[in-house]
Amino acid sequence: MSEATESAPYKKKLHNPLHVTIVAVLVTGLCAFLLHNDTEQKYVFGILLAVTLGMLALEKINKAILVLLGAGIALLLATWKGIIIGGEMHDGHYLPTYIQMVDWGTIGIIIGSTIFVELISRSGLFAWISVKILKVSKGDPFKLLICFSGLTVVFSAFLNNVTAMIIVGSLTIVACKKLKLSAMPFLLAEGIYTNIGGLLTLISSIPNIIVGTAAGIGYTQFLFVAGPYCIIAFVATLYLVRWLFKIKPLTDDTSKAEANAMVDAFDEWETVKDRRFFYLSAIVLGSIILGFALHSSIPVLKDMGLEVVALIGATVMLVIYPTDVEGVLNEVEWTLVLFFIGLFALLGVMGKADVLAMIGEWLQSPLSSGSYSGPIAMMWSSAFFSGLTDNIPLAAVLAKVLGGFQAEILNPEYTWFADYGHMLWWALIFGAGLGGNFTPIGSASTVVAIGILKKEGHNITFMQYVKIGAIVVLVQLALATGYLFGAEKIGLIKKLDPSKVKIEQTPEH
Amino acid sequence: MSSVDQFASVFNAATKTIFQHKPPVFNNALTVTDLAKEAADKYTETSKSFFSSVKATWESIGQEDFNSVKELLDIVEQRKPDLIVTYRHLYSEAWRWPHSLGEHLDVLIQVTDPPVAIMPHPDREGIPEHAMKNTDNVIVINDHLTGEDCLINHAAYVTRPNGNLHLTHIENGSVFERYMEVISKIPEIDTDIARETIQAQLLNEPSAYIDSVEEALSKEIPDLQVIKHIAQGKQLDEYRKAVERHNADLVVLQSHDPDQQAMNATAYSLAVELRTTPLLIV
Repeated sequence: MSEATESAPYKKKLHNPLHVTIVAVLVTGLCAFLLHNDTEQKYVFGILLAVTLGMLALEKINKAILVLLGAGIALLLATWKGIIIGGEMHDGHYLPTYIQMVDWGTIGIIIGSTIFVELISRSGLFAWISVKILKVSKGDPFKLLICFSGLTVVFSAFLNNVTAMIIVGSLTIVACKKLKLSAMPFLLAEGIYTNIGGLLTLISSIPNIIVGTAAGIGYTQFLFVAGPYCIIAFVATLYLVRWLFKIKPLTDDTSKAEANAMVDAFDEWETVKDRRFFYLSAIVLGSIILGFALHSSIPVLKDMGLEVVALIGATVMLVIYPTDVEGVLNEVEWTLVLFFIGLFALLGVMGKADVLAMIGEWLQSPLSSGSYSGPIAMMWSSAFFSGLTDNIPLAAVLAKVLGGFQAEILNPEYTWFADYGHMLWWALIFGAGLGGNFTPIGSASTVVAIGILKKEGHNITFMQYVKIGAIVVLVQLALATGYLFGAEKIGLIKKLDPSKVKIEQTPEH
Repeated sequence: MSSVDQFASVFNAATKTIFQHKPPVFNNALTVTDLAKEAADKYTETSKSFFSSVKATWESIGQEDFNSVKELLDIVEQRKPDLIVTYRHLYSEAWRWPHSLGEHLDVLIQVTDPPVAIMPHPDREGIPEHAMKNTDNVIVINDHLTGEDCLINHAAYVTRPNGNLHLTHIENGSVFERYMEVISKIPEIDTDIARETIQAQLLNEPSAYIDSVEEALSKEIPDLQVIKHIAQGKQLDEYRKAVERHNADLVVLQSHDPDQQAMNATAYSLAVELRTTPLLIV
């Protein structure tokens, strides 16, 4: 989950600095004591990882602060015990080890996409599209559900889920007030749909970027596998939401005409202040999407990471809109950026200290249990844990573990991974992506949706949401399970080619 | 642009109140006078000629028909007119002093449903040359014009087909300045931005609404010219000036204020003061 937004229904308290300092000193002291007494390093660092991830799940401290603290302690202890070296010379420059541990591609995508999304938002393009789609519904509740859900899926496929939820959610509130409809079913459906949209492309969500990149899945390949499932899940969820909330289409002509007049009163061009900027933004957005899709076949770009497309897009937008550069740069999600730097450094140390290898050993038994049971175990367990807490560290840890298995693909002991490792990667992507709908705190976009509802006077308790979320997640996971095996059967998901797979060297099994 | 409130503001601003043209139906018109029958009939003919676009059956009542307010209300209840035409201070000499409407009119406006046209008193002198001849220049005055379809539909109906329909919205300058003064004491709000954006938004809404009136009426009454007057200032002063400047033949006002029993404050003030210009209270 991302940091609490202003719409978050559960206000976070500030952490107590004394408590945090005491915990940090105690954990550092305990780990140092254990290391000094020759306790196996994987257990000591395992404790540190467990404490950090446990506190992350409790959400008592800002996640960037917490992970940076965990990474800092891990780096100090690992350097002290010689598990890692402080740094090394690289092309005449001193490069600290923690810098090499960070996946700068992910950081680049986050920074680049935040900037261009902010600027495109300011052009009014997203609001313009939203109003256009609203008008297609003619104000009919069921068509409105289809339109808002479709819009949420598309926006969350190309923006981050929270931004998509904020845009569509705010239109939902305004439109429902006009149409005298309850916004609750629409907003809850949108919260659910952001997770479906978040599955659509490689860059639609952070877990996709982390797992997809680690698995060596390209943008187009990702879209071809995830796309059909998103369509199936879209339709199934649509009818599920319609059934759960008893949304009925308008039948009489008078009501239809009144509803149509209400949505016709929206003028999409009122959302656009500068048409030249609007058209340029549309062109840049189209180019960025094409850039991501065709990245692997564009000369020069194909030799660079996907983040280059996002950063080029951000730079072009800053050139087009020089009005408030500082304001735009302030919109970069620094919490998320620092969280990732800390998380990557923490997991980097954990790899060197054999903690990830140890987790891999624990997981090897259920994951290697069979070509059906292994992926099912991966998908359903990652969905369950994603529903309870942040899916990003979960995806990051499991991606590292799977990366470790993949590094051993030529080892005869890991033939099971050569057989169905590709299914485990996809099971992790689907599980981490869909599990967020299980609880109201499982995904940041659902937190925003419930926050908007609370602001509008609709209070939804944890259990009230779970009753809806659990049904939706179970249906979506059942569909995803069937889909994955079906997709493999028809050749949409291909086996890993040992000669071409991306090998992560860090964890060793 | 990263919060729900920012996007909700964008979408709220994109929502426009669209005017729906729905002309009123005037089947019966009733002139209410304190005159003898012959003079009352003559007064009716003058009113009928003035409201030439009102295709209704005209009737009149005078001093033989009623005297008290109760008797007048009973007649109105019985005849159920769609339009009442009368003047200030029935059965009174107080029409000479511009300080009230007279007890009959006061009650009539508030109690009865049909629109009431208030004509200059028959004995009044100094009526402008253009007045009481036709409804070529009709001016609609309201503190909050946006969404007042009924008021505008009545005004469009009584305006002669080739006439001018002036739609006036004056934003209360004193109230605006009071809020700006408060905002200037709140450090979290940039006063200059607040002044500029709030003022623009306040004036933008009626402007967009009048555009929708013009668009709708251009299809239904092509020869009618809709003229927009939007400004900020002292409301009563600006309304008086607008009536004079545009040689208004008829001023259309809204009487009912949902928050109070008495007549709408601006409408009442204008109804009391504009004694030489016919008014239509809807």
